Amino acid sequence: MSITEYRDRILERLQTSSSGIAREADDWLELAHSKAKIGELIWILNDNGTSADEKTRAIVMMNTVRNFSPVMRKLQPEIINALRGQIEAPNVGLRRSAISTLAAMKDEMVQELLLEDISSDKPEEEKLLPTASALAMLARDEKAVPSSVLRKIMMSPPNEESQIAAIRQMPSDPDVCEDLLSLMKDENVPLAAREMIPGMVSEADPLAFLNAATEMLNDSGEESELAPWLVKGMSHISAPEAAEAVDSAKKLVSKLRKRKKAPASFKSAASALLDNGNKPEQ
Amino acid sequence: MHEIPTNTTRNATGSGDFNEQTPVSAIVEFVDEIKEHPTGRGVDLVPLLSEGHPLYSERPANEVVKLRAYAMATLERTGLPDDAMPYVRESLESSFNPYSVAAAARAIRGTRHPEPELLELLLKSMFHVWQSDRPINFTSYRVEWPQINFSTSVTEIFQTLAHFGNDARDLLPALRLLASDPNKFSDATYACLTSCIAAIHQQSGNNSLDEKDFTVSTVQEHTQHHSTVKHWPPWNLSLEDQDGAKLQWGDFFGHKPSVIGFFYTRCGNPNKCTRTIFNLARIQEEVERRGLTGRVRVSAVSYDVQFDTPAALRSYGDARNFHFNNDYRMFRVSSGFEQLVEQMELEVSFVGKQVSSHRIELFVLDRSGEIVQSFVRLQSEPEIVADALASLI
Repeated sequence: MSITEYRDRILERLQTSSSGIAREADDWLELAHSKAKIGELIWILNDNGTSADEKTRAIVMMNTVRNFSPVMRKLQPEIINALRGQIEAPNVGLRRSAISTLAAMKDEMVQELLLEDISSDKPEEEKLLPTASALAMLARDEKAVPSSVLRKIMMSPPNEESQIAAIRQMPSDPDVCEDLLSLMKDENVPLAAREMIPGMVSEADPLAFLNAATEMLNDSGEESELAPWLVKGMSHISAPEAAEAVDSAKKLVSKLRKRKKAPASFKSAASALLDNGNKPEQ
Repeated sequence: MHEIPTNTTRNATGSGDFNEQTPVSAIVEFVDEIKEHPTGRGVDLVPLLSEGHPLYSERPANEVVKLRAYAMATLERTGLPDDAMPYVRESLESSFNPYSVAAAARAIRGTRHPEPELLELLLKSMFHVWQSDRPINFTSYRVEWPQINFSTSVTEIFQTLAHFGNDARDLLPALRLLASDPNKFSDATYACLTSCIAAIHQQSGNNSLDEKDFTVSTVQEHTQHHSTVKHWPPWNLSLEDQDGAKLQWGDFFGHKPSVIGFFYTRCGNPNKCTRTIFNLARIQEEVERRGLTGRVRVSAVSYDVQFDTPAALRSYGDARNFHFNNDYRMFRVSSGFEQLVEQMELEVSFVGKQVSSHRIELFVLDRSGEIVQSFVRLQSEPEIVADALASLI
């Protein structure tokens, strides 16, 4: 079937779809193009007498039409003004909806408040959002969180989720490789955090990574949960100065994958490193 | 009110004492104090506009933008000193940040008769922020939201044009064209636009504007001579080019007239680094057109020493028509970039190793490696840079 035929079939299906869906689509289109209706949603957000649930619904409706609403683009300052008014709403759902919508717009005001919050020593329950959620929202703008703040959360996290989120956003900067490697070796750190580190560090500081990875493979062997990730990290290294260390690491991996207990995940990673992934060793 | 200050009444604690440790509250207090007693204090605010000020080191990018804009907006009250004008024009020409553009629009109200060209630039800057407009309030650094009354970057622009009335009369046709379709704006913004048109129309009548009414000087091209800077040129500074070749400053500079543009590949502003590299490519074309190939050098040096690997430099240059050969290269400084920042008086601030703010910076060096001309804050004209290079052969 050609692309044109496929497109025509989809269009036909859409046109003959149930009248209920079509009506709903019409409603959304009407909302997207109506200054009065978007104005009503803004009014709801600004009205002190309206319940948190109604306000949250208003934000959901705005988010639904935001990408194709010419009216919302024109009323952006009014919408942002109203949303900013809900950043500290006592209702968690409303607060989260307002913050995530503003964060998606890279709003400086919400970024400022979230950054202040995650940089503070407040207990998690007193923050606008849990640190992990705040980090995820701030991640929409790569300059929103300084690496010093990420580093502090990464090394002294309020909880595991925050640590994982901080590591995920940490730039692969040689200055933080030492800290990242110490977390990679630490078995008290959640695996979901540790398994990200080889891919980050192996290019930024290949020799330090190879040193740590071979030491861990020698100590814990091919059966450790992290072993496949260590091997995957090795396959990212292309720096000429690390060529000798890579060869030595490959010999170790080759030896480990021949062991009977080597898990499939380890063998697969080893194959990618040693056989370029297409010639698995028999 | 709105006078260019002639004297400086310094606060007991001037902005010169500020550094990366200074709390935001102290900086805001300093600006607020000037706001309260604005007469003749514009010059005290000018240092706060520079990205290179130590107070911006290690501050998040948003905070740098907001503090600079807060200081800039205050120039409306103090009067706009000539020294602040390059910063204002830079914001209008290259910023896409609504807060910065709004601050520049306000600052212009601190002068008596801006040049028509500046007002035209102001109107053009509207197109940078129109689709990302924000509620703005400069009454204090931190305001409670939601606000009942707020301006936006676009309404600040219209208010400034209205403020100058007759001086903005050349823009009436453009403003009327904008107003021809009310659906392009919210009701509040449209009302502001129509008031602006009415104010200009009312004040201008059939008056003709006399040349002598223009009292603010244009931005001067900054020319810096570094003969007094210690250890310049930095012959032994280690560089790495787009192919990973390692060399020293003296291997490339100080043999032929050269141009250096500063940039970094992660810059999110299409009017800054990406345009700087496109401009360098146009300078290369101009050099070739004039038959100067092989007699001059064109280079770009990254601010982002860690992220801008040789591969990143090459791909960034390739994508922007920058031609690579022995005379046309991109570099990162392997070590000692801080020294170069100091020696070339680069205006850039960092959070850790990440660039948080910078100006546009392009320098022309003679065959002995001395800086003979610099083009900063505003993008240079390739023909003018090529003229400068040609004059050095």
